[in-house]
Amino acid sequence: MFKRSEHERVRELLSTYIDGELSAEEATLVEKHLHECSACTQDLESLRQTVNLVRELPAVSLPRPFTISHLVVPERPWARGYVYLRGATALAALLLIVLLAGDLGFQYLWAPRMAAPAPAPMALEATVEVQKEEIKAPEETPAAREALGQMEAQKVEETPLVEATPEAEMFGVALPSPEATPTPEMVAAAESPLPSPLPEGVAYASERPARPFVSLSTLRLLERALFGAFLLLGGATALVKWRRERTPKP
Amino acid sequence: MEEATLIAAARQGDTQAFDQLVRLYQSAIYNVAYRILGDEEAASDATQDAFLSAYKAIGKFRGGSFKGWLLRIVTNTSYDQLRRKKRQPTSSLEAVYLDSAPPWAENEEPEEYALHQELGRIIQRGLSTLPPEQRIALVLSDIQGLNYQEIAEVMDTGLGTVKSRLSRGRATLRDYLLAQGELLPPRYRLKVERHV
Repeated sequence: MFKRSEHERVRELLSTYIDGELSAEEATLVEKHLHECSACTQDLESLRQTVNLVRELPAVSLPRPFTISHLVVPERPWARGYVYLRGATALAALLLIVLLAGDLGFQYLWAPRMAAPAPAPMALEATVEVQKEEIKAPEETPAAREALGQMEAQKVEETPLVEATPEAEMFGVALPSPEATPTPEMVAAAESPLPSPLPEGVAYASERPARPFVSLSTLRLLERALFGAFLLLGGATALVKWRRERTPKP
Repeated sequence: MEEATLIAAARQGDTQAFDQLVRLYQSAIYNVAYRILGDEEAASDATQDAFLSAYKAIGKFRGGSFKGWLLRIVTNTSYDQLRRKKRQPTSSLEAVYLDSAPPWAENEEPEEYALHQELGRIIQRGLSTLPPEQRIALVLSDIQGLNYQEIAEVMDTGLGTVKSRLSRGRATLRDYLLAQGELLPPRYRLKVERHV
């Protein structure tokens, strides 16, 4: 008597045994079992007949041909290349527009904020010099000198520079005498604006503008490069399109 | 023209070259689809889809058996048909065997020819009772004559799985034919009784 598991094991191997695909060890096991088990031998025989029936099935006829020429439209030449070129041209144009917008923003938003808040010391000195010249000039002629002197004397009489008080005298404040005539230099210094203590282009921290992330020269360089790329790609796209249109459709 | 030359031309977009390949293999591909699906309309759709997919993917064919590559594609398109229609493939349209002289027809009477057709219908019904994986393994092995390794490549599975599916599929079909008993033509009835 055979164990149920041996029957099941052999039955699982019968199909592969028919095809001759068992290992040597498995084939030996099956043949030894078949030699002693009529049930499994009959199983093998019925299985072999089934396989033979299926193998002898005739082929069925084709209901129609399955060719594909009438179903497929061949691509026109340069189809994919044209699509890529067109996309690249559009991208170059878009980037160029973005850069131009950035350029305008740079010119009208950042550049003015980068300008110095106070006039330059050189310009200031020139202003003082001009004012000195203007003041000196009238002194060159006697009449102007006399007129200026009268003007200054009148000013001193009307508006004393310092009020004479006992306290002022006590603290040794040098009071100019009412009769003193202010010199043109004193008048010019009193009238000229104070120079800015900061050098050109330097502002207080609270007034410092935001610095752009790219300089103007770099921006201009990028613009030129993109413009060139745009012209090149656009030309290639137009050429490919012209060639495709010349090719008759399939 | 050699097959490799036709394939190279088809890669360049030559549909006429590809159609020559279609004519070489369409009978085998359609028969596989028919035996899997059991229905002429579904088998036609699966076959046409298979050849269209093959043409579009011809650039991905890396050599080896072109027929094996086509069989893999038609297996997938047959799966798609099964999922799409979820039909029980009883033969809604009878299979018509090749008009050009079936092997037995020359020496047989019309009665025998009719019995063969009846046998074919019964076996097809038996195939339809199998799960798709077992049915495909059996069709590729016993109808198309592929070996275990080729079947494993077409079905994208291992050798052990192929052996298991084939063993179970054949045993189930055998039991089905035994159950038909008297319905089978006497000449083709299984001669042995199964012992449980």
